[in-house]
Amino acid sequence: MSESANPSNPISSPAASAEAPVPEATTTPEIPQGPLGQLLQSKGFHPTALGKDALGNESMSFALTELLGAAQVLKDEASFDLLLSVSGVDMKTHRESVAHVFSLATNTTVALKVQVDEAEECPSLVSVWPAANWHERESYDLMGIIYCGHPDLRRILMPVDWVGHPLRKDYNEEDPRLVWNRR
Amino acid sequence: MAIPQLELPEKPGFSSLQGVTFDQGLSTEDMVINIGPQHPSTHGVLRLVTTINGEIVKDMEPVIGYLHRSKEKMAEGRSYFQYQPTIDRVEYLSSFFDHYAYVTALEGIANLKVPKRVQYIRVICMELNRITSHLLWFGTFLLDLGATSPFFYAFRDREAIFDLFEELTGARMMYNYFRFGGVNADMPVGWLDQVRGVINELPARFDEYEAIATKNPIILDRCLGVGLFNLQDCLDYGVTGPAMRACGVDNDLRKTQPYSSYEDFTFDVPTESVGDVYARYKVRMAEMRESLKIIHQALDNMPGGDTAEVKKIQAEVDVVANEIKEAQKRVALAKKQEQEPVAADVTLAEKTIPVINADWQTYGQKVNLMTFKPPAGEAYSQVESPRGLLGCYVISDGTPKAYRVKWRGASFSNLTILPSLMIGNLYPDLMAIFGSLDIILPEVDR
Amino acid sequence: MTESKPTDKHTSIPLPEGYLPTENKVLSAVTEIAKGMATVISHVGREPVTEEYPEVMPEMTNRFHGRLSLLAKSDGTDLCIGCKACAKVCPCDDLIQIEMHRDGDKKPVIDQFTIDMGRCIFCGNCTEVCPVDCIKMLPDFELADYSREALVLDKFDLTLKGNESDEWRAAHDLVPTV
Ligand code: SF4
Ligand code: SF4
Repeated sequence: MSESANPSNPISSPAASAEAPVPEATTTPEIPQGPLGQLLQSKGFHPTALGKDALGNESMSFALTELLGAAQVLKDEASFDLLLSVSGVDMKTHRESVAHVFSLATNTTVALKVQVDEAEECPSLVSVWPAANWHERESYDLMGIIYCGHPDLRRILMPVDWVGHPLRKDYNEEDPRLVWNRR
Repeated sequence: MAIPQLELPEKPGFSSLQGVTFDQGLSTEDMVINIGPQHPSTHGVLRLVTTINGEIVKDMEPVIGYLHRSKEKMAEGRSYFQYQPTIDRVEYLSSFFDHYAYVTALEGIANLKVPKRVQYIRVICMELNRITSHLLWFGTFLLDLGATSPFFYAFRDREAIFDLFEELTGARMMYNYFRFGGVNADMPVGWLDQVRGVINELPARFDEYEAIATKNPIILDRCLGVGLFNLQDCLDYGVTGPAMRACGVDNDLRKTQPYSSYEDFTFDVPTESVGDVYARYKVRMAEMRESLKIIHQALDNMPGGDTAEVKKIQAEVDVVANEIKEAQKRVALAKKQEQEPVAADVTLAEKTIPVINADWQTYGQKVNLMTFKPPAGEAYSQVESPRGLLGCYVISDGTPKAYRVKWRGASFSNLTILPSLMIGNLYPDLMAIFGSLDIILPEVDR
Repeated sequence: MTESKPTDKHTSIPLPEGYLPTENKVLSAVTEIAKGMATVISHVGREPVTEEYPEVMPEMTNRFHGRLSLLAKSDGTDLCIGCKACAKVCPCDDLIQIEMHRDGDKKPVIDQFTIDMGRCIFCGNCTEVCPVDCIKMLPDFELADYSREALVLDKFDLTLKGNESDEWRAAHDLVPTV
């Protein structure tokens, strides 16, 4: 469990942020909206287009307040009916909750991202896709993102009495419980 | 004296006991029992906190995390290649799929080409792996239902395939064979024929399994109409894979988003319409036969054919290439010494150095595994694993270590439906229902 | 047969093909059980597939991931150049430990080379990156010992003799290094 130096933050390093599709609301005005982004815009939402990821999945980010409404539109009008996963990503300055949603009808995957600051709570997707239940619990457990509106937000993988959220970049790895196996 | 009536919880669509009334002469009380974590039929360490009343399950809560090995955190402290062997342990019954998801994500980010031969080798590996995984499921599922012999037969055939894997990768289960843009090493000479020998035997073996189990009245009684769910439930709980195809959906990534040259092969996607335990059983049995079809096609159309042929051609090409290189050296030397080079050398040196067909190589573009550093970016790759949609979400920040790796295990989502299937059902059906979902705990806990 | 497919009594789910309707289910059931038993009994005369392991050693394949070893040059001297590539790609932290210095001609001299086989996961990463094909895996899988310390192999335990190294290289199509 020992870790050497953490990778540098993709946002703070200028070289990386120039071409990185890793979200940064202010540096990506050129990326055109994909078809789903246009659909959402026509419904009055303001997604920030993040282009496609390396395997061609469209991704976009939302303001916290718009996430649920946009998700409902995607489910009802673009048949994105299967939630694949919810991943928490620690960006050091803030955290990100990334939901990957799949459409059985069109066989496409879309990534919906929201930025969650330390003091903020992310709206839970459980009301739109009930499948998000365990995935959001996992994201809360390992990353510490609070999902408001979640029916049962408890730890899931770590023991209930665990201290801290292990996938955070600033997680204390000198915890005596982690070093028993050192040579 | 009033006879206590057992109240079934409201769960329309799930309970096969809907409408059945229980006149019980005895008054019963709710009882909480812990199934697991060390229960043999949970196939790993799963704890089910179950409230039962008599034989009826009233509440169930899965408790997971006993096998959590922080695979996602490990990725952040190790280089991409260093992390790769540990992926085998995410899902040890079909780890070729996890490796495939991981390497495709990175091939996407680093924009690496994968030669056709490698794609075919990967297809053979994955389909053989699907068979071994389904065979293990078949054996343990019937063992849970009380049939002992099929377990040994399934393991016997699985072992024959593991021998092939050992020949190819050096390990029976922890393969560590796929690489970014290629595979670790080409197949051993004659491996294709060995595979052919093994898979020619298998259809007869599958017929034997089906003779034992498929229409056995005990199996039918325990499976038919048990653990029913439909497509809407699949979507609500994120259930994918054979369990979803047993509800009448023919969604298979191999067909709908062909990856790794699956578009070259003809095969069917087996589906059933009912959505009970028996339907899931039949889908898996049919899938194994479809996998055999795919492997046969991949063996016959393998670009370059057997390794012996490729080696022979490679040797011929090497001889010519060496001659040209020598000639170029002599010409350069002559020029340096300001002499007139031999005319034959000049014509030879002007030829282009021949290379073996790009489709036949085991690496598109060899990356240095020590210093592999994909550009910043992210990718979400998906594979149709034996248990459903397996996803790997990799974020790279341009350093040799991953910024974030997230695994979307199919079992993790498939497990969530278990409580709703069990509530209101008979407790003894747990083994049939849980077995039919084909959960593997290391993938749930990661 | 014009009537609808036979279904299960309780659930109205179609029974498998060839099954008689519910009233005659017993007949089908007995036939099916007999078929299953015949299959099981047909296994009695077959060749056993098990191996008599401790008495008969199994043949391991060429690529088998077994005990790690250091190959030597044909004359028995060290082949390892101390580049520590193997230690860097090992997923298990400090499992491979190498101490080396350079002699008068800047030639590397390996002072100590230990591998903790008790923590090795036999992944083969180290064998893949070695630039001189020195660290390799043997088809030897009998590694059990009485203590964890005994599994920490040092340079003396690991290094093969010159002729053994040559044999290994011949079996794996590698050119002998002199
Ligand atoms: S086989 Fe793997 S775990 Fe063992 S020493 Fe080599 S790199 Fe490390
Ligand atoms: S990689 Fe090979 S040469 Fe380098 S230190 Fe390890 S064994 Fe020696």
